[in-house]
Amino acid sequence: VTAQLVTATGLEVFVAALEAAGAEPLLTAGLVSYTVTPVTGAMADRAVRTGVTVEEVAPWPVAPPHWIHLPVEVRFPATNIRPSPVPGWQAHSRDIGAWGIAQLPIGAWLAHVRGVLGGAV
Amino acid sequence: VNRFAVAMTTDLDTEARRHLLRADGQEDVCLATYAPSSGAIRTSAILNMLVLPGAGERSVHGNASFAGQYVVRAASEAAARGLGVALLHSHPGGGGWQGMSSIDEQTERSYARVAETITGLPLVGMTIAGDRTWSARSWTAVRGHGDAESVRVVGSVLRVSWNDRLRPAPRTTAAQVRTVSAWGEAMQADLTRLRVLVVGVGTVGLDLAIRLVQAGIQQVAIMDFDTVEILNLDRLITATRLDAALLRSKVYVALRGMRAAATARMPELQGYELSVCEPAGLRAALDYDLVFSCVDRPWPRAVLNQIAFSDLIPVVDGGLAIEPFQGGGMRNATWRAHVITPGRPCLQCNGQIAGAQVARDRAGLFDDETYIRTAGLKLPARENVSLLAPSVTASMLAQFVSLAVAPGGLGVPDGLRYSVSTHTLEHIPAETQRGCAYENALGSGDRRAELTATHPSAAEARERRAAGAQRPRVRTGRLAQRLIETASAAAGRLWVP
Repeated sequence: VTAQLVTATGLEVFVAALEAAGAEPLLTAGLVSYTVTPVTGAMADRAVRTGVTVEEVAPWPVAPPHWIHLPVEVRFPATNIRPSPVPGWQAHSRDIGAWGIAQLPIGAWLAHVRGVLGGAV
Repeated sequence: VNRFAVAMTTDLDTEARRHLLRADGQEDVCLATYAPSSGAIRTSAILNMLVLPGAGERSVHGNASFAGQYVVRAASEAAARGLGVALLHSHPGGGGWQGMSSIDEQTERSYARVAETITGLPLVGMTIAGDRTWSARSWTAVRGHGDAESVRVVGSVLRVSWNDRLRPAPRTTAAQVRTVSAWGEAMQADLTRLRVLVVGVGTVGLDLAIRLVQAGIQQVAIMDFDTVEILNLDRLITATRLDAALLRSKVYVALRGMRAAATARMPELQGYELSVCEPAGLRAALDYDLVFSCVDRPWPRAVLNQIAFSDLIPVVDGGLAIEPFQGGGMRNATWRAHVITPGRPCLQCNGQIAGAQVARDRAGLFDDETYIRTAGLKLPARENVSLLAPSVTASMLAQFVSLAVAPGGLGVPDGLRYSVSTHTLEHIPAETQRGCAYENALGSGDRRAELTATHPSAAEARERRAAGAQRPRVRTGRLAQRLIETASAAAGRLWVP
């Protein structure tokens, strides 16, 4: 019998997974920011800094975050927004699709954010 | 009160028995790691891995003994993962909850300090008797040992070893004769000692809680932060217009109904006006052996789904889905029930909760109408029918009986779903996803991911109720209601032997 234990907080696990994925995580103003490069859309091939709040990654990887924080320059044709703790940024409401299927949750999360950024104009 | 209990999966129990209950009848020993699970008044040790002895790490000589380096190795492995260590040994000729011989006590005492020093957690000592009954105690170097009240083995069947001294079997009452005749005194003694929590005492939960106390279960608790409203009265059994007018909590109404229905000689009923998504709600839930999930929102179901695996507290979950036609009439209604327990897929793997919905609910957006409208989503379904809800209750209680009584020795089935339109009962097979974070955190106890948070809706409901209770009309009404209820209970005690 083996048990795969959660050995750190959700924040620590999330940050470690971002580091392992080469996403250059940084913790500032209650936000974990990291880099994602979309492959489609207006921002294709441009490295974009994005983030999620510390509070939202507390349950990682059991539950994913909901709000995706981005600089105000990143615009979408339709979006639900709220303020971000980082000046010059705003949070976009986005549901992730299937969750709990991927072997590596961070892979699923980064694919989700990449997909969202693919819709930027 | 500071209670202590131990829990393990059926798989770990099987592996431990294979090692400890030898074919040659000699005693044997081994070690295990555990994670603490801290409830409000009970701490549990959740065994999560056996550390079997290597060559020269234990000797078997009729009795059996641990080598010091074995305990140090296991404790070091445990400490590296933030876990505690348990010493397990067998009494193959024994039956029932075991006491310790002087040698047992001396051995465990001598390793208590070593284990505590290396892991920072108390040593847990455990004995398995030849009849598969476990007994357990927790050791600290300073205070010595304290006995566990129970050891539960959790899988498709829930099997609990009881410490009769700390948790004596409640005496059967005359009102329980027919119930006992269904499964016998021994099973009744096991069932009625379970600490059972019903989360959500709406249509289904209130009905369930009353059924559980009627069956003689001595300790049934309920958790709900909500207030009785007029629109609940078409299906909330025992609730009255007066309860709604007096802003009574659902917990108040449920406890009143449960007190009236309880058949145990000394029922111990508890109500929590909390959400299980709040840290205090989760801590309270960790004090129980089994939970009924009667909530329909993703966040509380996710919390319960989590503790089914991290803290080995089986969760009986169920629900009703109604599909009305837009212009009136009913297309279909279905109800389903399933037990969330190790060996069965979790609520996410069986499709009952989705990560995105849990995140949205946790963010306070699940029934935010402005958000839902602007996001182009559908409002959560609100249809409910009193005439169908008892079927959900029945379906969940049948799953409970399969889990705790295991008729035919079979334990719980897959999820079961009944369709009203086609009159069909289906088994709903589901498989665990390899990346499932709930099931992969099996036995993690307090090291579970932090799903709980402040819950503004629960806080607001409690504040609104407290403010309403200050109104003179409500205060007077509550006082009169309380007097009548107290007088009624006193009359009952006077006239009924």
